[in-house]
Amino acid sequence: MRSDRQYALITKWLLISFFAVIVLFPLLRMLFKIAESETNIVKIMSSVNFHNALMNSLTISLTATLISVALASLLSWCVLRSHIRFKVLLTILFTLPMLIPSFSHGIGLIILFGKNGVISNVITDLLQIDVSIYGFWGIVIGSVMYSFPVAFLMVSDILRYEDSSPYEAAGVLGVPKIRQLTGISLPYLRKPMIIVAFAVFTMIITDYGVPMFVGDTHSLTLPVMMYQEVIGQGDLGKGSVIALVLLMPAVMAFVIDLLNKDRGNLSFVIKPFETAKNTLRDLFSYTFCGAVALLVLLPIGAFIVLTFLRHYPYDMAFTLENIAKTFDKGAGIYLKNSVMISLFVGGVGVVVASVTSYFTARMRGVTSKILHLISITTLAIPGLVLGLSYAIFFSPTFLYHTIAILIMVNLAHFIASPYLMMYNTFNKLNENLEDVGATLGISRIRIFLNVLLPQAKGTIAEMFMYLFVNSMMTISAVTFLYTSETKPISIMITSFEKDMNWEGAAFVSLMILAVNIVMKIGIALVKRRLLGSEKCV
Amino acid sequence: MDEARCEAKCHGKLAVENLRVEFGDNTILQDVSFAVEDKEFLSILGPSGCGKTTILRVLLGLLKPTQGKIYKDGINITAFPPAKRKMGIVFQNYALFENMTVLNNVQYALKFDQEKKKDAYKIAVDLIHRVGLKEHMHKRPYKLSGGQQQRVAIARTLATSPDVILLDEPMSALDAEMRLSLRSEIKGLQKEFGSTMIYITHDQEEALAMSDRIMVLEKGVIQQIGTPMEIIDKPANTYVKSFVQENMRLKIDSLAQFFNKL
Repeated sequence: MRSDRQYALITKWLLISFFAVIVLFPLLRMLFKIAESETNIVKIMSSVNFHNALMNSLTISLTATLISVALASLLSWCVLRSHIRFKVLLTILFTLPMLIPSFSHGIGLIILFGKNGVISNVITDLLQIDVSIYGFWGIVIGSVMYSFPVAFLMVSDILRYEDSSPYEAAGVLGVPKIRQLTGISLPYLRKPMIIVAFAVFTMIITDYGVPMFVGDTHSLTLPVMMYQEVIGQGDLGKGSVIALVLLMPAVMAFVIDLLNKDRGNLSFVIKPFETAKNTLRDLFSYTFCGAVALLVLLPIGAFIVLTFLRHYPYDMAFTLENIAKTFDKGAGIYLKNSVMISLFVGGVGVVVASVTSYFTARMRGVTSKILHLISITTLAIPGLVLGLSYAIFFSPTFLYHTIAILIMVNLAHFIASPYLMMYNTFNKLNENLEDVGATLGISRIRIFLNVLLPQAKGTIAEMFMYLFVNSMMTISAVTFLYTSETKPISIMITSFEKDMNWEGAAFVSLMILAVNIVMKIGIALVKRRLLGSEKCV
Repeated sequence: MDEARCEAKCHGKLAVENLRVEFGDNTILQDVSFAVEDKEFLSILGPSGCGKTTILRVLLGLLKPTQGKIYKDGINITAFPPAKRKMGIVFQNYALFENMTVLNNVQYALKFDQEKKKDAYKIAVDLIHRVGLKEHMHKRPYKLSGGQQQRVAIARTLATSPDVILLDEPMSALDAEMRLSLRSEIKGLQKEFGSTMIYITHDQEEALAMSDRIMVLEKGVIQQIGTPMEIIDKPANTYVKSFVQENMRLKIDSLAQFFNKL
């Protein structure tokens, strides 16, 4: 008979090894690749191409981050601090873009504003001017569309948990509004907003979906350059060097986040805001939220138009031909691949994240700390970088070219967020449960299975959904790893882009969106059933 | 100090001998020795950080002492794992199994007990009746009041028929009125079940009102062990004297406030 403690230690080391294989070893192998391939880092970094790409990446990402965060902040403020109706519906709409790949946002822009685009045609007809989305501003707009839902969710969270009592006190003391903003709001918001900005910046600078579609030769960004080096030239060494650079902002964000761990709100009771009556503000909120919702729906509308019309704008007859053609090209098989990968990632991810967070949240010790650090590390690694490191590390193994490697890379890519969800849930549950169990003769494993997990049902559903949705739409993590048999559906978008088959790309985007919406609704129903009127964590 | 040492003998229900706990350079408990008689209600009283929770964890077997021995019914149990010690615990926040009904909270542990497995349901229902929660048997803990939750926690502990029950500041989360009524409730349960109880608290009035004997602890050292009357009448040293008086003054102040509010 082994004791709880021994089982725990064995499992912890198994988990550490697991994370080492799916994250640390591939990354280290990639670093060695740079050394062994005699790639001249200095030469690459001092080349004109690299310099231009770096500058493009920085200017585009900074601009898009500013716009994205500003937009998201104003939007969250409108939703949380006004009396407008349909708040739930608006929140759902604003987060809809999170359900499709960044590539689809690129496609959406091209369909709308590209040559012969749905809207650019209208503008050209009406105003007789040429509209071009390609280049700097196109990438910025696409990046904003792709990143603002994440910023919106993060800022909403910050505003939701802001304490209203300092404002009330200031109001009673007669402090003017502008001083309330500089004296209360800004100090409170500074730190969390920096974190939001870093997260969004990282998301944008490492994305290659949008710039690949709407970029031109003057707006080449680092991720696109990396993709071209690896796929086009087969130069893994040079790709690795760029990957290393792309790792930087995420690592910085990660370190800043770690240093800011004690940023907890000091007031224990948070008094929610009581929004005053203000017709002007509500009117503004309606207009602004409505406009953004429309912008969000625009690309989705365009996907529908392109999918079901024979040849926009010349032949507006309804057709199912585009769908049939896409299925002829294997969409059915690829969709099945994707769903299977996503289900596996969801299932395995939920188990790994739950067990890991149990050890880190509810047990102490050095191994728990190592485990915590290693599991959140994945948060900092861009999918493209992870994918490349996998291609290098796993190519000599039997795993390469199997569907298993796609499941692994997605697990490694997405496990950190669900891990943190469960970590927070387990931390909130009563700290003495295991001690009570020990005195009553109930083992830790039983407490875990019969007491802790049942109280975390809601979190489990959330974790599964996060893993599924993200695996369904990711392109970056799998782009170097699929074969013609294991190809996920999202990759079809890149192939269609090469053939300028916008109808096919639009339909695939719609399919991914539909599957993810179905999953979201399914999880919402399951959660309602599981939790009912119960108190949940 | 020397008086306190004399209290400790290896007899009684529970006896603790020269208990010492150190974390690195910090000494949390210094040679603590005391004994608890059968069916006695002993309070361990002291300010936060005095080491009272450490004593509790060591007694339960959740923490290994640096040195010292614990005897129960004359048997050295220092090396026993928690489950083998037959000691129950009611934590400050009760730590109930929120996902289970009151009934399942009480009978859960019995299901893993080879001897009691068959009678688990009967034992649990009987206990729930006796602590007065008959009509709440199928409710989940969050639907109960603080006092009722405490009774669930006590019943859950009683189900495994422990020899000693430890209560870790069980009332500190409750309001003043509630505490008053719960005091007599806990005492009532102790009488009813004939349990030996060790009650941990920083609240002097609670300790004085409920205990057969009180152990005053400060900085990991026992300052005095005695009946409530002895503690008030013959404080062993200036610390006990000032601690009792200081706390009583605070109590009276807050009582005065309480009555003013009424």
